[in-house]
Amino acid sequence: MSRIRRLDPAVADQIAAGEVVERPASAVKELTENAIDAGAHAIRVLVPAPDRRHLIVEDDGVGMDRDDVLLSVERHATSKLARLADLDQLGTLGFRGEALAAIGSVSRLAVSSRPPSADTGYQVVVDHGLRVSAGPVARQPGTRVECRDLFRDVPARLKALPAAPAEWMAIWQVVAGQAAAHPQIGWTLAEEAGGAPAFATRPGSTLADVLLAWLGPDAAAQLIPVERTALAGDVSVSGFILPPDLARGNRRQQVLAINGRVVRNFSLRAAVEQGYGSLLPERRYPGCWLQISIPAPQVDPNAHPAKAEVRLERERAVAGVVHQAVQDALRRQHAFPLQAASADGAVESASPLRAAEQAAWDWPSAASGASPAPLHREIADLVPLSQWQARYLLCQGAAGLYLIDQHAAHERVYYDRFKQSAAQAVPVQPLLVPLVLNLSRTEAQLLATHGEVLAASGFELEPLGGSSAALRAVPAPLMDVADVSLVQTLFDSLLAGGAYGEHPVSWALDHQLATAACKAAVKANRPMTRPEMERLLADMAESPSPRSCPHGRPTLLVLSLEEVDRRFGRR
Amino acid sequence: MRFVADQAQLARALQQVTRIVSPQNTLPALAGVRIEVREAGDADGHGTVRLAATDLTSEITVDVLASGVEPGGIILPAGPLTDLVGRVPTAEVRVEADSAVHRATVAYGRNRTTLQGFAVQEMPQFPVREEEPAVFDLAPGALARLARQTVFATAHDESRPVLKGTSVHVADGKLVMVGTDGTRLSHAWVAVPDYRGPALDFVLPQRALAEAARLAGSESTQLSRAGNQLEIRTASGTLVTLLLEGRFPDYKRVLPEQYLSHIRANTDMLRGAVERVNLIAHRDRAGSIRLSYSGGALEIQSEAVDVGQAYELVEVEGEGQAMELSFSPHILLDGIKSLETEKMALDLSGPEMPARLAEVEGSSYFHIVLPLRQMV
Repeated sequence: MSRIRRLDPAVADQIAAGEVVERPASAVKELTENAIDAGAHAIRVLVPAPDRRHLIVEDDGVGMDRDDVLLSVERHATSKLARLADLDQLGTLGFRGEALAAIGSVSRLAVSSRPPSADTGYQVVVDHGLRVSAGPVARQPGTRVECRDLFRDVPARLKALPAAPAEWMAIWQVVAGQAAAHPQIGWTLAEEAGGAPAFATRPGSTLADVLLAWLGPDAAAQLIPVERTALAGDVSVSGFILPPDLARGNRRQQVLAINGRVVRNFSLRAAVEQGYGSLLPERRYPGCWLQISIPAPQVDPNAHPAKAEVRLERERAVAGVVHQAVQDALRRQHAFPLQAASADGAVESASPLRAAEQAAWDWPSAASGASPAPLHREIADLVPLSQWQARYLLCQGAAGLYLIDQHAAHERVYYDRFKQSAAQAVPVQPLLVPLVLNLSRTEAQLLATHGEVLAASGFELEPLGGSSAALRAVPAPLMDVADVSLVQTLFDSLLAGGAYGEHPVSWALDHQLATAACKAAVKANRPMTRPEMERLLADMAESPSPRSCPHGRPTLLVLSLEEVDRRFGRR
Repeated sequence: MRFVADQAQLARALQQVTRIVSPQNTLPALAGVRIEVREAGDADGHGTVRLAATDLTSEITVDVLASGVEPGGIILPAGPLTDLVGRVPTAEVRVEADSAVHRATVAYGRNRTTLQGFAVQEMPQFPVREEEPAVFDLAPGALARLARQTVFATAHDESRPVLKGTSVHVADGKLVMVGTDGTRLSHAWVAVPDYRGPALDFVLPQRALAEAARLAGSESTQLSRAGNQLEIRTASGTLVTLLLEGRFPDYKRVLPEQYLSHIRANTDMLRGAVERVNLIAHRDRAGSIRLSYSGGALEIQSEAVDVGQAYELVEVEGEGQAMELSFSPHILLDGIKSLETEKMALDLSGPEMPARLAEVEGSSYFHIVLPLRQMV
């Protein structure tokens, strides 16, 4: 007797469902994508049961007639795709015709729908792959999908489900993510039909409105817009990022949507995070909500069972665009978002005080000779009041009282200066005794393709055949650290940073420069006179990113007048 | 265990052995000095105190004469003991140990300090090699000179461990030491007329060489090599070290075969000029010192952005092509500083080719530096 048998279709469906519907949140993702594809203007997600295994997704989209409703719960039944070639021009999120069948095979699923042209709706109920009932039903136009008892008959999955609060969080994340990708749709996420929504946006909203609902007014006020079109108009990036001081310890505040599809993509995510560069401390992740549009044929969404990962034709180039967009946005950004709230009044009230202050000091003002248009007006306008504990500068400025860490600030100034000089050509120190390296296959390939880039920056690496190479010359400033790990850093930065335009060798230098800056900068417990403070502030104002030291720690804190007033009970 | 020793002698001996003790150790006994007392056998109770310390790659032992001895041994913490004996105001120090509890009392005059130590066995002993060692002697001061001229050129990073040592080659009545860190190379030799054995080749760790040189000072030394160990015996003490493993690069290939320009200069004058020019050059991370030779003059220049320029002209004797070369400031300066004769030679083999700094008299030392290459 043959040992290989065809699986019972119901079993096959359940197995397939395991890939698509991993957890309740992934069912929400599939169902909301269907609703988006149906052209809905409003989508409502209800999660009534506390165990989060009962889900309802309602939309006001095009709906389905009787035949479609019946077919919709079958496997590989879809309205979105007819031929494989269409996959290239796909305008919809779904295409496999799997979602409803998959959910229906692991839950009790009720699909009811009515196209606007029809008088009545039609409902079909499927329980773990078996049709229970089907018949006409009264309802308004649109589609409602309800699934109960998810994974009732899949005990292993049921046991492995995350705790209900975590699942609720994940569902929230899915709905909010979809809302960020499709802000024009009105989104509601609630536990009960009439209950207070956990997340709600109105139809016709913009991404900014969605993020207001997501972040609340305080953080939303600090959003930095991102906008960039590149590669002959093929790729455009738009959306918002949060300033680095609002970075979190997790990536929940990150949504990347490619052509309306919320995806995970390591390269793009890394591009965003590296766009922040030294502004972020280690293991802190910035908030970003970016909509990326790429010509459909260059995206292959059919790479992951849940379509969460996509393959991009020119991934590195796209990552480069994203990286540049984030960097530009951060550069353009006002250094002090707090200023926006209170700038107008505070500046005026500060100016007379400033004149009085200056008169009160005997020191001639050192900052008066500074360049006419500093990069960061807010910092250039700061008035140093005093030094506290011989390590912090107290300054008065537009947004209130500024506390500046003198060491961190000076470190940033030196770092920028060193970085600038490192970009200039350096002499090369040839090695009397070459350093022989054993390269991995990838590294050997990189050497073959990037040999000229390396040579142009002073690293002379000669392949010796096989997997070895000889390092014959290094840039003179790196002579003391020319060892295997330096070359390793170099290759790593070539691997990671090839797309970002910045010179790969400058990456290898970063750590060195930061250390040198730390050594050169004034330390804590160093009393400073007023001209010194003014000079430091003037230098900071010229730094591209004065808010953090090269190691990612902040250089300054701001205490607003409002906050001080509030604490003194004046408001 | 008991002995009475001269304070100055004991303090000096302790300083000599404890230089290789590293203060942080996972083995506590390694932060100590091993003290072993032996009787001389005469009736007056004279004897020797042998002090020893090790970092497990080398061991230094120094003997001190003592009186009133009672044989025995103990390990005492190096730091406190050395500091204490160095500060004792009396001419003599009495040390008495209770071997049962590994505790020793250091007494001076009416005063005393008690130190908790360890049993002698807790310090690992260097294995005694069975085979017949190859033995040869170095003239007074020779080892110290070799160390001065080669140790500074050895590598400090760990990427090529064998370069953290000095290559030693003994054959044909000569001992040649070579140190290189990959960018420069020091080559020094000394005569060993009495050695008749087979050619020796080994790599001596830089630290052991530096310590042995310090121990030897201007005295003569006897070296015996057996297996992977080298013993350096001097009048004031003995250092035994394990030799570095690995193959030293074939440095002879990088020595230029011919030079296009030969320059003779006064060492102090050139050194002074380079030191002054370096004041500017070293302000710039990518700074360099430019040497231009033509006719009877050597121009030395440097510049650093935002700092300034320096220019010096040194009169020299020379022959050969005019040439211009750039050097890493500290590499050039280190090289010149290692020359100990009044007159020096600077031989150039081409604008981007190795240059040789050498002592003119005796010609027992030269140093090779590679010039920088300017990016275009």
